[in-house]
Amino acid sequence: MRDRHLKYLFVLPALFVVTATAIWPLSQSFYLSFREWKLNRARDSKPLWEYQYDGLENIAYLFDNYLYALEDDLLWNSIRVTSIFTVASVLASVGLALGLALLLAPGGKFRLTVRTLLILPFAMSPALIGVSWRFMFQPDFGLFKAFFDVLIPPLADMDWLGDTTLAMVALVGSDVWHWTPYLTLVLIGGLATVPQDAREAAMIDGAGSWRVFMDVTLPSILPVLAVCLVLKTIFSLKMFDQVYMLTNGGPGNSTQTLAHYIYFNGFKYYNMGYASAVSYLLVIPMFGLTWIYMKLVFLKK
Amino acid sequence: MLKKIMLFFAGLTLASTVTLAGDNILPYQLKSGKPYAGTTLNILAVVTPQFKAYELRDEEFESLTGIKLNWTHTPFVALQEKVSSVGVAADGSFDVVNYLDSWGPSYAYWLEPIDAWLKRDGIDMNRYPEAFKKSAMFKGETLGFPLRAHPQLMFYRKDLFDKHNLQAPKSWSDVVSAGKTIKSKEGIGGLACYYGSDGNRQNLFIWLNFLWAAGADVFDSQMKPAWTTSAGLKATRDYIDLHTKHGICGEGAVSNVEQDARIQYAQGKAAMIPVWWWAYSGFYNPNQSTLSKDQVAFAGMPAYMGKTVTYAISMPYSISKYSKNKEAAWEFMKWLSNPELDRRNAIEREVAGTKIVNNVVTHTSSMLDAEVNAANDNIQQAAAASLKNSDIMPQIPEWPEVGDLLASAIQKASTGGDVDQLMKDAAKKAERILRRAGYY
Repeated sequence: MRDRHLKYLFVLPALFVVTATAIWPLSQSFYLSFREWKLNRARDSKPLWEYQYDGLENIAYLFDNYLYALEDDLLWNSIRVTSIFTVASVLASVGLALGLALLLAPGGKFRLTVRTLLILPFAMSPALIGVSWRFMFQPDFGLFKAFFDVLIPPLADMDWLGDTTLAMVALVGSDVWHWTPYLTLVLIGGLATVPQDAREAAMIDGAGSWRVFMDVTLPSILPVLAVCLVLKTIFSLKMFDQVYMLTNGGPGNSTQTLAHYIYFNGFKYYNMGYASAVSYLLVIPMFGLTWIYMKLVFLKK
Repeated sequence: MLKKIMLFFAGLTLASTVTLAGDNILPYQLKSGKPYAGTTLNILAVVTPQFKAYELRDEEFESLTGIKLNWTHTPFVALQEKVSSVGVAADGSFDVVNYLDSWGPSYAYWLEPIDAWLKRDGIDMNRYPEAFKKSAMFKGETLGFPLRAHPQLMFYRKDLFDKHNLQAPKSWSDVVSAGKTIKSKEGIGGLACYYGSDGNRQNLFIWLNFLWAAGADVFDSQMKPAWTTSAGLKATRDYIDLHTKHGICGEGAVSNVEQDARIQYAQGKAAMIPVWWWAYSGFYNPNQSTLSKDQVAFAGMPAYMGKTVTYAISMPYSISKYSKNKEAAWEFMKWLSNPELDRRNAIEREVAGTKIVNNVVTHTSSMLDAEVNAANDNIQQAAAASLKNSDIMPQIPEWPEVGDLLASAIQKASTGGDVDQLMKDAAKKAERILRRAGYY
């Protein structure tokens, strides 16, 4: 009996931390999403129940931020940019990681050294990556200009961060550089679980490398690959740091992701109520993806 | 030698005033009798040599008032968040805050108006150029002192201009012509352009020169976007054309922000740059630049359609409404903003054993002061001329949001986009924001 109560006591500290850092901020921002709450007038803002409107206006007021969002071109632009970025970065980083994992999986001294070095890009802060890449794209002194000058001269004279398409390519590139090594390591782990006897049996039966990969290797690592895809999608959807440091959403709003748009509304324009409402647009797919992720990681077992 | 003698007399004057303090006659309208002795004031300021020099002079203030100062210097990139958090916390953790003028209207709610104090102590805000004075006001109330403020100047490469028999540009047509000559003959950018949208609306700085000189404005009297008038659109097209049509800009014009452009000029990759006067010393500082002092010259901003209207910016100091030491903070503000300190801070090159290079002054008297000008290659005279017909960005709380729409449109236009359409789209979005804010 005592043990039954004791277990709740052990869970309490974790519950407290989760409540303070996740549940309370989430519920508070949900409440704010129904109010016109300005960060710069935080002390002057009325609580929701003090607003007095006539009849239906009370209800209309509650959804004012959400209704405003529906007709906000910049919001829809940021959703479009986030979608493009997510698809491109997920496919490129997971695809590249899979290729690298297949190359590095067999082992050997050289491969092991490369595997160890691979963790370095992932260990770097995304903001630092953004600053470094911005510097490397600097058209007068940047590393990329020097690199392209020698190897691909037509690319050397391009203003990468000053072109709407190339800026997105640069942004995706920096993210792929950051994430590919980590995903590679995860997939190498996945490849280690592929049964050798099945591979050998297939090869004895005359299957080529491609056939072995498609029919034996890929089905075996599919759960790990799915986890990589879901995890990377979650991180791509909330992309902020590199956007802020590398392109700041430009040129124009061509690389402005949803997270960047929310940040500007909340912390630069002080429209915290509106930023909260828009944030819930990001929460919806996040919940869905997290549910899939949990299902893949835990329920499958 | 002459400079040393003059500095000696300046020091002597200050020493005399401090001595007189013993007889209850304090300089700068400070209260006699040290009524706030023992108070510690917390000051939040941006990182800059000008303010570092103020901090190094703390002892002067403490000996006059008995008030201690505790400075926190924050880099500009983090300043907005830091100042915002002071307002949200509302606990008086900082007594005096320093901020960019265009953030002022958003903070006005928790900044203490100083008009009553100004009147009581006989301090006239007309000691500042009109644009600077305006930058520290909101809805007719004075919120603080513009203690760091900048006029625009055109810096150019004197050696290259001499080499190609070019004159300092007086108009934007001159800039285009000189820019083309230098680009073709020297292979570097004619003009260091910054069309990049950085979140602080830096790519509007030069655009406003074009817009205002064309007789257009940002808003009309009804607060409707006015940049879409035919004069406004033409001015915008001409501004964008510097890059898209005339091709005189250096590399990376579309993505460059002001700092990138300054680096480009300082590293000898562009021949001209229209920028704030404070950048001057950095252009010949061997730690930051490949240029020597005799290669760097400055002139007033060029005219557009025969008229020069410049944009000015400031970083005022204000007292927080949540401060528990407002009267002591006002004593600090009086000392910090006094014309003598303003003047000395641009003349003395060493403060408390630390080397300081600062040419920023904000009082009109300092800008016209012979000694200040002698110590700074007459840049203050050029600044005073630049400020004769100058204005600031609109002082409304929604300006950051509206200004960013414009900044995005201008950056997109500089990639070759349809200037008129982009500016009209920005106007529609701005109207939506202002309608929601209750302007109409």
